[in-house]
Amino acid sequence: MIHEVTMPVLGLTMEQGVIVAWLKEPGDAIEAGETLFMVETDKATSDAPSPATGIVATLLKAEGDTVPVGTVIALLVDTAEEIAAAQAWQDAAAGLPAASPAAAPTKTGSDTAPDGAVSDGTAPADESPSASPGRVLASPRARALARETGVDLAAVHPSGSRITEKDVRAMAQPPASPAPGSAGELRKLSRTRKIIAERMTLSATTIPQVTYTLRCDATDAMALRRTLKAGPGGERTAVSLDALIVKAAARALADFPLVNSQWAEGEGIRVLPEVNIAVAVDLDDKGLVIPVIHAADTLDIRATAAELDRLVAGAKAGKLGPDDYAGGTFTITSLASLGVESFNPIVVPPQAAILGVGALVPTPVFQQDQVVKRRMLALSLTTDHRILDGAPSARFLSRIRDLLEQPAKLVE
Amino acid sequence: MSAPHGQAPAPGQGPAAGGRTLTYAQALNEALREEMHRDPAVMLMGEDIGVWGGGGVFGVTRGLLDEFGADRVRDTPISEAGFTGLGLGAALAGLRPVVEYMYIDFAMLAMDQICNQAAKIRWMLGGNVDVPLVIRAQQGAGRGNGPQHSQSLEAWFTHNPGLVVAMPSTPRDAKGLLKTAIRSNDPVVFLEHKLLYGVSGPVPEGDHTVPFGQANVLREGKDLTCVALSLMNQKALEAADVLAAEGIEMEVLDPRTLVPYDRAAVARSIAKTGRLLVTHQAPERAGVGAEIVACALEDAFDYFDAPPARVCGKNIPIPYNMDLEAAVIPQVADLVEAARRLVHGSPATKGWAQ
Repeated sequence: MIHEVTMPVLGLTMEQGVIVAWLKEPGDAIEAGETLFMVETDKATSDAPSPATGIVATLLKAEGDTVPVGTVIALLVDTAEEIAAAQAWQDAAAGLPAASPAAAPTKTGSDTAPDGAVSDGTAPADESPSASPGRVLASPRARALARETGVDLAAVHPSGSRITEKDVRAMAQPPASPAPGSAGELRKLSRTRKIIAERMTLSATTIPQVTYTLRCDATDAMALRRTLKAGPGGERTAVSLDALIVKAAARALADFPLVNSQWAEGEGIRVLPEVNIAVAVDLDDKGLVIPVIHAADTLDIRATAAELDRLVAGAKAGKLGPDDYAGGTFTITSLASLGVESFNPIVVPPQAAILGVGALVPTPVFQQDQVVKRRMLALSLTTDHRILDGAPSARFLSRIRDLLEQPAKLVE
Repeated sequence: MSAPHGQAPAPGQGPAAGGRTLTYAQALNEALREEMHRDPAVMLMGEDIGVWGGGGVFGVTRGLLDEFGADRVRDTPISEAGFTGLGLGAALAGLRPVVEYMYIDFAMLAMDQICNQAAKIRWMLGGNVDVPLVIRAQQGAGRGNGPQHSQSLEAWFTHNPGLVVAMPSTPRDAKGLLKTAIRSNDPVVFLEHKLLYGVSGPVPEGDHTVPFGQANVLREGKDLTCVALSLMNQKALEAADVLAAEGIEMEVLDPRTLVPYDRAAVARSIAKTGRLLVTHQAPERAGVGAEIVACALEDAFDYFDAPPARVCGKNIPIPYNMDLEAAVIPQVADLVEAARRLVHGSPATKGWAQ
């Protein structure tokens, strides 16, 4: 029988996926559960398993295609004899007449008609407008224009059965006039880059946001870290300062539900039931991803640290699933490791707030008229002013600082 | 039936201000008369060109017998091979004969003389002889003349090296190209169309010549190029009027001569319009249209915005019944329909290319 392979749903919010790579070709045998292709969603790249055991009959979508979930993208068959049937199925689905070698049209026929009269020897043209998979139908003129203007034909929507000059012109930007020699290198946007650009533009253009910065004494938190590392019962858990900050933020968010909310346009402010802390992870030149520690307010410090380690390592290795990226209600971003002392993060829509963490800076501080050396860091909170005014934002931020400065409370 | 036997000026061919108009037949007659006055070596041969009917079936040689005498206007027996050979010999001997076939279909009888002898002899003799022979005939369908008197044979002569092939589509070109042909030192096959003889248009007086190998844009347009042969230029101009009312501007380009052929003019036009429609009355299969399309694709591939289209005669003999004949040869409506498809979207590449 023929088994349809569809674009899987890999997470509650997934609407479409990109076929990054096919790992099998037509004719290859495959086991149920074996990876058939790699799929990229908004959030991650995952292996997609074969739904059945059999032989790959035909791949209906090309690598790089963006496909809505549920769309049939490949056909599997149980036996090699069924491959032709799968081909026919594909043709029928595409509205084509069934192909068979015997029915292949011949352009030059006999001039002798069945009744013996001499006839027009031209076979009727089959005008089925079908495109070969992977081949963009475009006129030579359209192709030449696309080359000149840098338009990607794959992105052009044909107004008729093929892309014509008109379609390319509609797509081409009015020619920019770069200064001589400054044309520069045009880099295509990765999917991650596109999403970052969209979300950040949405944030900057639609959210009235204010950043509040205060200094926090992290000396005791750093000391606690060493204690935790030793472990009470001999277990050795590395607890980073970041984990303590996540824990502090989770505790504060539980106390300030309005910070753990969303602006619901036209409806109001939606206060969210779960505290899911998203953590920005730098992928070097590949951009930025934000995996999520779910129900962070329910995790103790060791569990928080373990989950944070898993997410950071997984994000860097590209091993996280879509659900690891879903559902964030508050975001923490840190540039401490790069020595940045403070910065203004911007809110990730539709969240209400984001916390930016600066670098630890050894600082002379007055304590009871004595100057002592303390390790200070800046905490910068940016909030959506539609939801949070200055004082409530400051109270929330102060709570985080207080928790970090008295870190024993974080390990209770 | 669409025979435009019309005496009205064809579209785009109205009288120029202060100019005079002649019919296509009158323009040819004037060219012959002027060249016979100009050069005593020019003489005419053919069936019934002198006495009967006062100058040929279509009156092209009317009055020339009286004016120049029977030595220079010779009625011949019904023997195309014979008088073609006679004309060739006369040309080699220094005369400038204009040999006429009543119908081009009869050229079949003289193909050895035309293609094996006249076309090749200069080449066989190392370029040491001139062959100033003109072979004139009318061709084409639309008059109910049946399959043996309605053919268009330009492809036969175009394919055979050694011949100039001229196909005037207007009275102006009829005069100008015939004068050039008579003065040419190479053999020229001069193909007129039986339905063009009555078409009127401006014709310059005096020594008006049209060079070979220079296409003529009869109408400018930006949306598609129609390369038309002979009578089909008149049909293309009518189609262009219909299309203009729909906002489609069709350029009508007449190559005027197929050998030599003005490839550059066609390529330039396609560079402008992006679409090519080729039309002739001769059958589509292996017709000159195929050559025109091939040259255009070689010269202007990157300018094509749609597949080239041909609107040509069907690949069957021309029927005698005039309704059937009309169905076999391309009509104005066929050109209009093809142009619309080219501009508004044609089907994707035919199935077997996939």
